[in-house]
Amino acid sequence: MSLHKNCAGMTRRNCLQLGLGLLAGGSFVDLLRLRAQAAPVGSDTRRPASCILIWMDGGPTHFETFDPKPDAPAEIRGEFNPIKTKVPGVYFSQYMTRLAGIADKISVIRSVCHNQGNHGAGNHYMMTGSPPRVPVGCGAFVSFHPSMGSVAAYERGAPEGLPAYFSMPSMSRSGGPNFLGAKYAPFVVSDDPSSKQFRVRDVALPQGLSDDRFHTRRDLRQLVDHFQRITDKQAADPMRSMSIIARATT
Amino acid sequence: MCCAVSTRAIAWLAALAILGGVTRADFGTDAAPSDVAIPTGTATVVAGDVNFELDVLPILTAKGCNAGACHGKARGQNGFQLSLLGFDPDFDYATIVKEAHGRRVFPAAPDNSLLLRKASLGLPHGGGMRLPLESAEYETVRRWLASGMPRTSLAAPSLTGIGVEPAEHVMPPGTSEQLRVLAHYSDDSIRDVTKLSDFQSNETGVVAVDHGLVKAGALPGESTLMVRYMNKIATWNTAIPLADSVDADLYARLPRKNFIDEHVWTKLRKVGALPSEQASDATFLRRAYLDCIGQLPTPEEARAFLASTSPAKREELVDALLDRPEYADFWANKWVDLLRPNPYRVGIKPTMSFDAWIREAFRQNKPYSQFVHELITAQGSTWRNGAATLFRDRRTPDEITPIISQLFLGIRLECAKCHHHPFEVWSQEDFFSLAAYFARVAHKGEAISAPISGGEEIVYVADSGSVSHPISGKVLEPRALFGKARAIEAGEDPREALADWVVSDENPYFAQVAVNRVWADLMARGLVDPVDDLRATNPPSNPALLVALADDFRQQGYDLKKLIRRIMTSYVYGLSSAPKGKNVGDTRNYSRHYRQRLRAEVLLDAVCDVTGAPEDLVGMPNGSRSMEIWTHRVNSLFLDAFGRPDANQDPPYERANDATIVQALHLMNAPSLHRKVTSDDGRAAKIAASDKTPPQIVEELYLLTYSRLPTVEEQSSLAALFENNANRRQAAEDLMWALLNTPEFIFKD
Repeated sequence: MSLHKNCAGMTRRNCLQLGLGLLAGGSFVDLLRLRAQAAPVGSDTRRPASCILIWMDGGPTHFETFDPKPDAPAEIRGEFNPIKTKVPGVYFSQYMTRLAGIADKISVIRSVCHNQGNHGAGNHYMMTGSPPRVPVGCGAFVSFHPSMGSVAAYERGAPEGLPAYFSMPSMSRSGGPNFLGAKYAPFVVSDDPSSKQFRVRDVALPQGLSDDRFHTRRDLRQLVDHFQRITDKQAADPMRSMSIIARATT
Repeated sequence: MCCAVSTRAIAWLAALAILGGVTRADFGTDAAPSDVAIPTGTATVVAGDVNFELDVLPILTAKGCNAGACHGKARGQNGFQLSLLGFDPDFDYATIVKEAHGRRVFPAAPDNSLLLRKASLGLPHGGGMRLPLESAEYETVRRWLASGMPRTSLAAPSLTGIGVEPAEHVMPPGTSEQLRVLAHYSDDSIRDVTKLSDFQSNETGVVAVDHGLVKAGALPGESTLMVRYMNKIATWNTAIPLADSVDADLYARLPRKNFIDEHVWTKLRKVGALPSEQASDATFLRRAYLDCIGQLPTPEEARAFLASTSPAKREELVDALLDRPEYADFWANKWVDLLRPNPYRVGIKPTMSFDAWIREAFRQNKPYSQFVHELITAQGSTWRNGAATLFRDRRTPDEITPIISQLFLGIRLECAKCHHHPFEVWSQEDFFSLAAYFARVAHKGEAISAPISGGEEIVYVADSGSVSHPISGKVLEPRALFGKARAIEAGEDPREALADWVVSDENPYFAQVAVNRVWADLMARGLVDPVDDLRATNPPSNPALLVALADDFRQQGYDLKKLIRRIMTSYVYGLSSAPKGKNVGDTRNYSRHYRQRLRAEVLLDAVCDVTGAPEDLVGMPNGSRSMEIWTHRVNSLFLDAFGRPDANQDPPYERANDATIVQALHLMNAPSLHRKVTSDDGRAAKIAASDKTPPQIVEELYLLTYSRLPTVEEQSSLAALFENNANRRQAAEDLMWALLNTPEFIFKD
């Protein structure tokens, strides 16, 4: 079996590097990268932990991945056989040979389930930790509560100038920030990273625009930008957030 | 000043007093049984000097035992549940004294009572130390246990209200003041309950409060403190004035175009700030277009306005804009945020019919009272009467009730569904009595089978139906939240009586929350903020202005265009955003105009207008504007980046119009924007191909994006870009890109 193709082997770091690598010409994205490396996250001096959530909506079964049932009757076990892993007594399905080799470094939780009657509601419960407060249809995409990623974004913040988290290839079902607001929404990368043309949207320059011309435009923008800044913090001018952005993007 | 409170309130009067800016907090309701401490236990003992209601319960509240995060939450904590903040003494007494065979109390050896052992950490307690052994509170509870857990007798004095001392006053920067909270009882006795009271400041940056010690910050501003003791609430308002006073004559000489100006100047005089200068004609022009119709003026329109010498040209502009058809789509787009349901919940076709209904209301400029009345009483097919979709989305009385009260009364009732509202008068009985108006709403047709297959459903009024109190099980008669609704006639839809009461001229909340919304749209911040949260503990920044606007709105027949016109033709609306002197710190009193980032749809339409390249919107006819989108399921990375309601989320939706890195990157680098700027059929290409001179090109691009003429320096320095004929198109594209990517384009000044 294979994982969802858009997610195969793709980490947030790879994904950023792909986009940034295309612009190795000394532009704002380098600044972004430097900022990402240098920026402290809150007051927490520990190395920030990363988390990748692979959400396989209607994906491969437990039996064929991390939870084969070696003792079950053949019609339940399915066509694949269990294989031993590095942890005695723990079995994976036969094609997960490399994961089996590092099974001592991973935690497999087989006991999670929800008590909802259908996919729409179950997705919501699992994605947000909160059961939908009204009945929803099976195919429903609903959001009554912030999703895990948005809650993490809200609680942990993000390095200045970087989105708090990414989502590929679309916002997951029942994903998103709900009442936390757009500030805690994922940055959605909708394109296919396995494609040769792949670029992280909006971070890489649009095709057909040369680096030189981009620099010309940026200089021009500086030339025309005479809008009065109200810098006093007390004034709570919404432009102040723009100045943070300006620092990150010029 | 803040004062003592009676339990029995004449609620209309109370509502008027609260909303009229009088800070008297009156928190009794006629029919809230939990509000009055009447013991009903069979073993009432009147003995000793401590009793449950007056002595023990306040300690449990003050120590956070019955807080929402602990034993006060709906399912309690570790099997021990108390009513939230002690609103239900009967329940709490039963839990502590009787539940689980009385295992929590041990009168013979009070120190060994589970209640005290846990709270003093004699036994492990997830909530930690609450009552240290030698503390006065521990001793009080111990004495109560030792004397046989008495309750107050029926004849004993009950808590009637609280007062705060000293009287409200302004505080010089950096000073502090210790408040005293006095509890008043029905026998006219008074106790000092400061130690057991809870304090909160609505502007902690201005004024901080800790156990009643109020500390004024260094900066001028205003703050309302909420003080709570048991189920009684009081407010204490204070302000930190500017250091130097301003000459009264200066205020007398300020221009007044209508009553709004008078109220704003009065307030500014009180806080000692002066207004900024008037905005320039160009700034006003751009602001007015964006506020009335959500579009930028064309270069021709801008030139005409800037060249006009009519002394009343600003008023004329507002009138002309309000007559434009784009007004309806723009203002409907705001209401859509509050009403549009998730199509996965109601089906896609009812989503469309609801959208059409809302737009049509704004096209007709339907009086707001009629708009609301029709929504509350909507029935029929969700395919034909879009308003009925509201009842397809919110299917039960307890689902429809909070949205009606929040949207049209500015009263957030959601808390009262499960427990007595912690900052307000509303009880569960209030909630479900209001819900009872919807008891007979029924549905037939296809049930929810979303999305596309969601069929037609008919909303109708059945012959019977009732709503019961979730705890007592008592069937509740429909009852308005306050004041008096007319009786329901035989055979009548009860919602008719409810709708009459909601939109009644005597209902102060109805008009106030409506004008507050419109004010917030035009002035960037509501007189009450958040806009739909009207309560004594969240007072308006200018109560007199809110009342005057609501009165005017009522007198003008709830005509939204007249309300918008009133605000936009005030002198205050036309102020510049540039601070003048010390008003830089004013963020609540409108001494200067507050900037706003353009809404997602407005910005996308503006980008399309400037570039001359319309957006290709799936599910919409060619050439549609994003303002016309009827479902948020229409994909748009642009709209997502700049913030719009999540299609899967429940309304109402509040937009956060902050600027983010994602937005900046999208405007700079999105391939779709790049294609717009560089399109062969686009504006930049056309301008470059025209016979315009270089300075004319610069002027055209400035009018398109900033709605103003370039300054002489701007024009001459930028004209040089176009001197080389071979580069005209590229230069036009680059300058257009640069202008689109500056704050002067993205913000309404």
